[in-house]
Amino acid sequence: MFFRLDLRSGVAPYRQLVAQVLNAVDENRLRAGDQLPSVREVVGQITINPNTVHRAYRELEHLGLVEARAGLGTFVCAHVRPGDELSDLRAGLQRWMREARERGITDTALESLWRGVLDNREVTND
Amino acid sequence: MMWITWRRLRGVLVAGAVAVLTAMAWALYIGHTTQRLVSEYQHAPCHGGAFPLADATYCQRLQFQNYSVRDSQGPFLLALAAVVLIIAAVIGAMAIAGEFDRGTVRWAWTQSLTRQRWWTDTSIVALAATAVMVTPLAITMSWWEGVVQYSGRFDPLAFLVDGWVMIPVAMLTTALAMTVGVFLRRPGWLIALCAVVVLGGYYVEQRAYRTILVPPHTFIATAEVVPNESGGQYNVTSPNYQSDVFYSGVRPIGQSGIPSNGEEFVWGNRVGACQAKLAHQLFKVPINGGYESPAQMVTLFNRCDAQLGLYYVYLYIPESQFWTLQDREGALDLALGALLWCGGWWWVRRTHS
Amino acid sequence: MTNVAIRLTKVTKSYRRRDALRDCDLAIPRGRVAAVVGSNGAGKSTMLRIMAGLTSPSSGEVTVLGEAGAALSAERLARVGYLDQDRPLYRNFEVGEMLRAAAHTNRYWREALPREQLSALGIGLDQRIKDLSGGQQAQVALSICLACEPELLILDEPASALDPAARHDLLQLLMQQVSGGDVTVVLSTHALDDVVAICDYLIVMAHGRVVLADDLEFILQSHRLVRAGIDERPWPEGAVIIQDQRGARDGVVLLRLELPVTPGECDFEKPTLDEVVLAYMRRGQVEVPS
Repeated sequence: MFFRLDLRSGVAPYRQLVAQVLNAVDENRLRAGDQLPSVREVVGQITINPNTVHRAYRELEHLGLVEARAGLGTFVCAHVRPGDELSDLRAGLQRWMREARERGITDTALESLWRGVLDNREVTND
Repeated sequence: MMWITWRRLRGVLVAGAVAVLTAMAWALYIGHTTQRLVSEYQHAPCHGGAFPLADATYCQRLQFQNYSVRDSQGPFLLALAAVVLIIAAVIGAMAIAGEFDRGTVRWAWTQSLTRQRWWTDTSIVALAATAVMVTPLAITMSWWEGVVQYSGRFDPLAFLVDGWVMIPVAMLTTALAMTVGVFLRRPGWLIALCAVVVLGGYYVEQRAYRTILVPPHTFIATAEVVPNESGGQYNVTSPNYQSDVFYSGVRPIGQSGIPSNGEEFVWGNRVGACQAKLAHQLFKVPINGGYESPAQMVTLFNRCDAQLGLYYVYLYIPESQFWTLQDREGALDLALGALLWCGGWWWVRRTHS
Repeated sequence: MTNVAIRLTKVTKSYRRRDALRDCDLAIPRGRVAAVVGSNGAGKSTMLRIMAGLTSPSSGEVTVLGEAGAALSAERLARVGYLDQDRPLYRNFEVGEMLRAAAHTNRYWREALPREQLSALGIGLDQRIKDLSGGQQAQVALSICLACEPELLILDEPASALDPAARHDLLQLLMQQVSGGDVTVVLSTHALDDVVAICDYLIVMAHGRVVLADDLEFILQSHRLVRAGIDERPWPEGAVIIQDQRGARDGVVLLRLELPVTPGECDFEKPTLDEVVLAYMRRGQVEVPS
């Protein structure tokens, strides 16, 4: 599992890590029982605050995707299957995009719309 | 911190050691040359001055060589004093001001040692380095002064290089450079300032205030006619030329102590007027000029001194007090150095980096 | 054991001709990686030096790791590591000699750590410091800082004037240290990218004042960008205008919200870090200097 950080995207680093793990599971690059890189390893790959990595892993734990085993590391939960988590969301998203394009809305406007909703969701969650 | 200071100053110390060794080599060379010339003069055919007329040319040339070697040492001594003080100032300046100037003080003061410890460790190395470097030079120059006898032992320049006083003066210079370096953080200016201040201060102190350190002696002169090697001039017996004579003249009978400025001129003028008048009276010498024989001069001196109620006196520091003066001067310089050191120790707490 | 690493209370620093710092209040929690951002001359270096104990404030109080500022005991100095902007090192020393110098002057010194780090970076112990490049010197200086195992690291523009590779290596080194344990870091920087990547606490300075100091996440969440003229929704109660860039017909306004915000109350856009920082830096200019 190799992480990347896009500092210009405006997306908080911990969210990027969470999203990358979700994608990896979805695309079967991470399977049930696989170990996520340790905090030190992640810091070695990308220059990032260790607390950010801790936070991302905690969020993934909170989502039920991974579990931390004391002294051993963080592992993908046994019950997780690729595509499982997000398949219905993906289908819904594809429908939504088709509809938006039929209405003639540009990709940029779509992104902006998406961002607005995403940001709002952050506020209500915390 | 001590190792760091030593390592930082290493280049300077090596250069200083080379300079000191060069000076010592030169001093040894001059000393031995002088010794050889003197020894040659003492033996045949000159026998220390009692030479037959036939050898006059040779012996006079030898004696001239002797004197010229001796007299030419002035610049050497001055250069030596300057070099010693500059080296001492450089050591002090590089030790403290150098850290400020290069900004490394911002490293040193954020390591886990207090500023006081930094000051102590750094200054000990600097002062020790100065002492170690100057001591062999002081020893060599004491021997040199004994052999060459450049001038009276109390001549300020000769006094500095004779004995052991060069060591505390150098250490005082280092201490001054260190403490002033806390404020004046440019080593170049600092070095020049300290060398000049110490050399100038020493000279002024020796000329004007030496008598505070060692009380002067009084020598009442008796005028005697003594043949002089170069002609028929009178000689008045005086203290040994190695002593420090800082006043010779007439004093009113009953008065003692160190004369104030201008006193000699007052009495001297009165004596001169009396002598001129008496010379005219007794020996028919014209009032505004003329020549009196040595015997006549003796009469004039004695008669006028008696008439005006004066006696002829020297105020001087005798040669026997040489080491006393060295010790007291040395102690004074060390005390000043210690005071400066304490000032620096106290001030580093309050200064910014 | 207090949980505030550095506390500044009404700290002012005046020099003869100018005030470097005015009335600065700050409380940096332990364990944070704090960034200090501001224009040159805003007082960042002065403030960092006061934190490190190199300078004392003209007025106000400084408490570092629980000890009041004036103490400066060797123990306190041992727990704080400082790296100056000029990266002071003894230029005539070899790298190995510099390590020896640091070993002599520090209570807790782990010899193996800098040796490993420097050999990994390809810096030989017998090279003279003055022959190293700027980036290598910065790395040597940081290595030495880290080897003393400080609880608090104060770094003044550690990555400035470094090429991208050197900068990456330096920040890597730093983050490895942070992942090792309970370390608080305060560093001044101009690169907001670095701030996003490695910092979780942000301090913005302008004209000698601290105009913003808080958790980075909190800052981004508590500010909103409103497109005035386009967006007619009412602003939340208690919102404060940080920057007003409204023109005749439209413009942008940066607001600071009074949290917590109830759901639905605020759908406005979140600003980027650049926008927030610039707004606060410029806001400092508007204030009348005392």
